[in-house]
Amino acid sequence: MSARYIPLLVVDDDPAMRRLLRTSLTVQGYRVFEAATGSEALEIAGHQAPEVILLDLGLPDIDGIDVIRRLRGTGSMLPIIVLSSRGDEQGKVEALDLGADDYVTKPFGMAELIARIRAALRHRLQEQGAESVFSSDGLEVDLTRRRVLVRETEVKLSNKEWDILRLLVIHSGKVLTHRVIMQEVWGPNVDVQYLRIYVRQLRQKIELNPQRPRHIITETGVGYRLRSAG
Amino acid sequence: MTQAEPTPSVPMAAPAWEPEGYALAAAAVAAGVLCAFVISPIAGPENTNLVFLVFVIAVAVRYGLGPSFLASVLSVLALNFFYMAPVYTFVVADPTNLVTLLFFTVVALVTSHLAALARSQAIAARMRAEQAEALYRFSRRLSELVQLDELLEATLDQVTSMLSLAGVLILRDEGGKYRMRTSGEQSVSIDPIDLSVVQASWSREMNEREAMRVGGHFYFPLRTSHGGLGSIGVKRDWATAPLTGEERKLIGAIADQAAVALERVLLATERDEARMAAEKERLRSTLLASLSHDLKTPLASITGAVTALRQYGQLYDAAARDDLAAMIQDEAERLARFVGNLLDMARLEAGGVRPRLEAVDVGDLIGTALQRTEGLLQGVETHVAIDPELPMLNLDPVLFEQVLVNLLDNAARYAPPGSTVEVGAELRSDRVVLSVTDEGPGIPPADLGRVFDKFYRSENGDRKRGGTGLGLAICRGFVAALGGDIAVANRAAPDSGAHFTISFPQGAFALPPQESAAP
Repeated sequence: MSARYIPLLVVDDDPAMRRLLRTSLTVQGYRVFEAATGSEALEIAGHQAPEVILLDLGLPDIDGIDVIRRLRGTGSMLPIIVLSSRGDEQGKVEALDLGADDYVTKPFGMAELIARIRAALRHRLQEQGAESVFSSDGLEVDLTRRRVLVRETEVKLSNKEWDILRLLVIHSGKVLTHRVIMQEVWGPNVDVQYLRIYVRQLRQKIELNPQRPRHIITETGVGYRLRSAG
Repeated sequence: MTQAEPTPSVPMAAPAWEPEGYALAAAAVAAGVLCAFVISPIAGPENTNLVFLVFVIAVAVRYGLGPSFLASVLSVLALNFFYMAPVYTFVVADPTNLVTLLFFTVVALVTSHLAALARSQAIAARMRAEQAEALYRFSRRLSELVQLDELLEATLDQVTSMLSLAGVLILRDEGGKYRMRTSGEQSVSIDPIDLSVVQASWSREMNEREAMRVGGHFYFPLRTSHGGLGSIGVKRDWATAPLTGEERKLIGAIADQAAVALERVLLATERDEARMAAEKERLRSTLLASLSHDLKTPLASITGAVTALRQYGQLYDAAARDDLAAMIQDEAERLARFVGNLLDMARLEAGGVRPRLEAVDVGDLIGTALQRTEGLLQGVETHVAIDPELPMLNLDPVLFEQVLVNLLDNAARYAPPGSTVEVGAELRSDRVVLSVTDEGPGIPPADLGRVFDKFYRSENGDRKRGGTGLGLAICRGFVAALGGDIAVANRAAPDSGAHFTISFPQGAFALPPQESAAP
């Protein structure tokens, strides 16, 4: 990471949470702006040009979901990571559907949060020129040559398996909702069971222990995420 | 409204005008004339008056005083006309006949009066018997009712059916308030001043008072030993149709019976409320004890570790500092689990668990649950066996994952280090059965039925990581919400561990995806 401080906006009405994020993200090379309300968040997002937003959904004035809607409504593609609470899977899915990039569930570990922020920032850069080879923990996927290596052994994937894996690789480290994957791979109106069956088959081929997957992580009630350890 | 046993309407007073009684009185005299014609040749004309007397008495007994008077007068005229010289005229020639007619008139009038009196007494007795019967049925019906609303309705029904009067019930409520209920759908507005007068009558001192007239209503107190519970009011136009003594007695009797039943229902309600309050209180104190223990213990560790790190950090080497930090993390995670359990329990109790069913791969959920409990299951082997034939199930993945996490959390608590926790999922003909089996001490047989109760904690085992007593209760609640069954048994060999099973019937199987939507 360069010596440049990346501007980041934290939106949370809890001062302790803002303090924690300010302290721990500053040492990670971020310049942290803080907002306690939705309207403050929209104002700072407009004036300070943050490169990523951490957004709590339960804000005192405007619902966090509405903050996402308004930001995306202005055409902003600013990466948004939602800070959500356990049990609010619907809120997460709604936020993702509205254009949030990812989420972490409170209470979260700092390593997890930083991985999410990096993944979100990386994808903004990648949109200009994506890297074509993904490599993580013994799994290597070459997008241009359409090749998958597991511990240096090539594995053959069916078309649909490849489509799913390719999508996950393009968004590696980021959660993808069931809806998004199904839409991209099959088009509208497909039974979620197909997705689950293909993910199971894919895991059989690329996971060391398919019952305890290390690459394709299930985000229960939301979707899947390809873990990116590099 | 439905009434189990319709109460017959009981007439309150003898009907005033029965034209058929008078017509039949005339007919009876005509019959007497005919009869006398037949009898007089045999018994002698001097006894014909007895024939008429019989008919007059019969009319009196059957139709009362008025018709029998008419019969008496007509009989005198008929006697005179048909049997006294000169016949077929109303002229009385013989003075002895005049005396006979006079005596006949007196005797007829007196006997018909007596007979009518006997009749009206018989009618009154029958009416009283019918009323007593109706009141008895009413009291039997009341004794079967346990709901306040049903009781009020039955009481108003009774007033309406026995007296053909619209009633209103005003009940004492807490805090000087009152509740009102009227018969049928109509609403009755009662002047607030009238209402306060009625309310004042419920005090213990006023309790002895009889019915009273307030506004357009006549109010009868619902008397009990603890003062009036309320009043039954009936509407009557006071000027044209005052309540008779009989009617007052009847409403009073209904009011008294209603008061007894009302007191019983109110006492039963109070008793239920007291019992519920006691149970609530017990749960609250258990919850408080649990909260203070399960919240304070990790907080104490965290506070201790954090203050040690901040104040004496330089005294520790890197490994010791990391150890303290790891402890803080463990304890914070324990707190988070506990708070999560509390929230789940609260959702269950508030009835706020609405499963969002979708086709899920149970094997996948077992994987995520194991991942979430990785830290808890350190030092324990986990073995997963999933039937390759397992169908997908229609479940709420988030709820079901929490069930698995709670079961694994529970297993981790009792599994000895180095032992194996088995997680299985298999298809057994028409059911999918999931199981979590540990090699811990198992559950005391006497407690097997209580394991899923809220705040149950096993006395068995070393309590190395005291549970919250909520995890398994949440499992039961969530599994039930998902349409499955959860059960526990001990493994066959004694002290060889607990075996939890969750089974889902065929109804929970996800239908195979439609071929038309095939990829």
